[in-house]
Amino acid sequence: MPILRHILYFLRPPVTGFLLHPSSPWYLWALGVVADFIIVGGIIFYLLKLIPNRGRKIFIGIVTFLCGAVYAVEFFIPSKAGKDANFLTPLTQQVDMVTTILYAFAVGLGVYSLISFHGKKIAKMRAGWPNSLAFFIAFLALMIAGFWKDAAPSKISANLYDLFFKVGVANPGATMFSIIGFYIISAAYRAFRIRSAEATLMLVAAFIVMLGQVPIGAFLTHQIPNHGVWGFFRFENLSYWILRVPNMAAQRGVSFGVEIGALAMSLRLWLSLERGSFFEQEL
Amino acid sequence: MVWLAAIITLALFSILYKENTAYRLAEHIFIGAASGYLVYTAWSQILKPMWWDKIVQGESYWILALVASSMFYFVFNQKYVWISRLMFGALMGLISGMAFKGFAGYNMDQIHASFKPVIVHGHSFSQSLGQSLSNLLFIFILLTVMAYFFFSFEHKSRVTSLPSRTGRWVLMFAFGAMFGATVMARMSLLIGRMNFLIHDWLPLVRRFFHF
Amino acid sequence: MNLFLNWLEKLQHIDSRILYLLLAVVLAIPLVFNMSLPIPISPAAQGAYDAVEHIPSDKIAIVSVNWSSGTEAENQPQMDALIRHLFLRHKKFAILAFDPQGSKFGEDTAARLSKELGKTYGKDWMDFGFRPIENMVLTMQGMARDLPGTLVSDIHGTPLSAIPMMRGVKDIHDVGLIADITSIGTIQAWIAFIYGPYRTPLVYAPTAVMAPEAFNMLDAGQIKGMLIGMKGAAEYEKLLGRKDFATKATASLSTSHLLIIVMIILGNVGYISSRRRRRE
Repeated sequence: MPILRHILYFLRPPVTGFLLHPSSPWYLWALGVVADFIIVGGIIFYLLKLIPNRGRKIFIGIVTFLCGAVYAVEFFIPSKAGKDANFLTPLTQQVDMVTTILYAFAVGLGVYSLISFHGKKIAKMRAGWPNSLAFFIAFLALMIAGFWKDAAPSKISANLYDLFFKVGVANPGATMFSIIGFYIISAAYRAFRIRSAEATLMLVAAFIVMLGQVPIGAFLTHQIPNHGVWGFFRFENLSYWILRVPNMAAQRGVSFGVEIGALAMSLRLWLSLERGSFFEQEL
Repeated sequence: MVWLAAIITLALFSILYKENTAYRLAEHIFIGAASGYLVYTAWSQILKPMWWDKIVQGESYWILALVASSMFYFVFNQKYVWISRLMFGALMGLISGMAFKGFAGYNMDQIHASFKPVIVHGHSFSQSLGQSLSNLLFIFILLTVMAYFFFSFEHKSRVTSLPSRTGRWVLMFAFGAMFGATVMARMSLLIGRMNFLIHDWLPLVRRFFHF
Repeated sequence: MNLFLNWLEKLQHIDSRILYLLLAVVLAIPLVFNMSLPIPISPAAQGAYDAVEHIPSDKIAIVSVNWSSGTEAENQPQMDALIRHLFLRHKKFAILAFDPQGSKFGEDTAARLSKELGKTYGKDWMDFGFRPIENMVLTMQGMARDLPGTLVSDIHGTPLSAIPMMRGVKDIHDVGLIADITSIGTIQAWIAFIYGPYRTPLVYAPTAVMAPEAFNMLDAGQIKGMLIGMKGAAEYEKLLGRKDFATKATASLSTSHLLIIVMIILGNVGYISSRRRRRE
């Protein structure tokens, strides 16, 4: 959208737009960005504060509706002949770029919560504070290793980054999820009880699917010829049939219900009709 | 690297014996490292090429993206929390607006595929009969499951309650399949860790202790 | 018989740690002794294999890596097998990750296999890097209409116009296949926003937990094939004529499933027997 770009270029921020140029060092650019953020952010914050209390919900509702309308209207307006686009399509492409950046900045929300929680624990020396210290060490170690690898690429920095990733992220992550496997055997022995005919049907289906999914199931019925009517009773074929017919039919029925519900929910969110503690907070 | 990874793996597995300090320490290291990795990745793969480099090249109006993102952080301030609602509302609106296209794109093919022929002509009689019976069963299960999830009115009469109760029964096929699949998934993850300990770490232990 | 039932009732209160140890032993034995069993190929895995074979030579594939370290044991072998297949058939592909850890796993796997098979970055494969999953749908919509304009640069910051294999790639019509290797529900978005409007072939490689729901999409033709967890990876390895990690792990998978079934049966027999005794 060239017109929008021209307007934004004309209204560019004072420091980064007028005082700095591409060959300026990175720290000046960083200071410039902070300065412009304070100036531009301050102006926008002041303008938002002018909105009266009563008008805030309406304002948020209008913004929500307009944002949703971009994509909803773009979908319903017919495309130009021979093209997969209408006059709103370039706008949607710009929106994608902007939202990618917004979501990347939003990563800081979770990180801030973690830093705040563990920081307070260390500051007040609460029980378990060495663990919080370990959190900060691991956090900084991986971040610094990553930035070092980018700023000064070398075999040492690349290997250090790999080491921290594999030891701090990949291996522990895989282990945390694998612990559930142990809990499954405990649950299978203690909790899985056949108390009704429905539970029995579920168990029989589960057994067939479990055996059909693994080579031992195919081995147990490998004597049955794999063609004709009898082939159906080989575990791998029976299991695949259960997945492909009764399971698929039930999943589709559930899916239709869920999708219609999701569409209704989306409509309610778009039109700001949703109720609940978050939506009915005093603004 | 293998030794460190094995130590942290065994520290995490120690929770199976009982709650202990080694597990808590390993858990906190994992959370810290994963958060640090996320911050680094968000900057190096998104913010630097798509935002910072643009500002440095003269497109300084991208500062507005930083201003917009800062509105998220008002969620931590009681007085100005409504400013964060503005951003969350905008993003929720965007996602909701796409729901129509998403619904059409995802469901139309499935609705079309649900109209299966009850009489199928295959290569042989047994194949035709098998496929026809499967299709008939599919339609029966689909309609009864949809009847079960119809909550708009109470299922008082036999006409509405019988399909609904049958739907509950046939859902057991799906739940059984999901249970079987879940067991396979969890065991696979455990096998991955066992493989690491047995094939990557144990040879180093044997070499270290000369046995 | 009574002795056996008495013993089963007493075992109802067995310490869970003994069960954990039993499971660990049952999983370890096939791994230690490198046991294996023949693996039947499912139609879903065959469909995925055929879809990769039929990628037109003038189009690229996109390997979407949407998993993290938690599901490494299932998704890593799937990714290994798919990328190896793409390299062996000289199909150009690009990695796109909606998970930050997936970005690293994808890059490392492709770099390792590229070195093994003598392929070149930029010519035979490239990596778009990570995009936030919250923005996944908008990214998909954007790349469908203007791929270079949406994805802009590769993981190293190089503009797409400077990457040889991306020259001539304008939009989704220049993509011959999308392989979604995932532990989260990304396939619905690929189907809704890419397959639905543009009919780009999709191949799905989920964790086993997500597979039962995906038969829906397989039946409707929305996905051409599916690799179900580690078992699907083993089937794909067999189709490639290889015996990598997934193939070696299926024996452990078999023994663990048998153990679970035996435990469920024993648990229920003990429970029913103790309930009868309490009634008497």
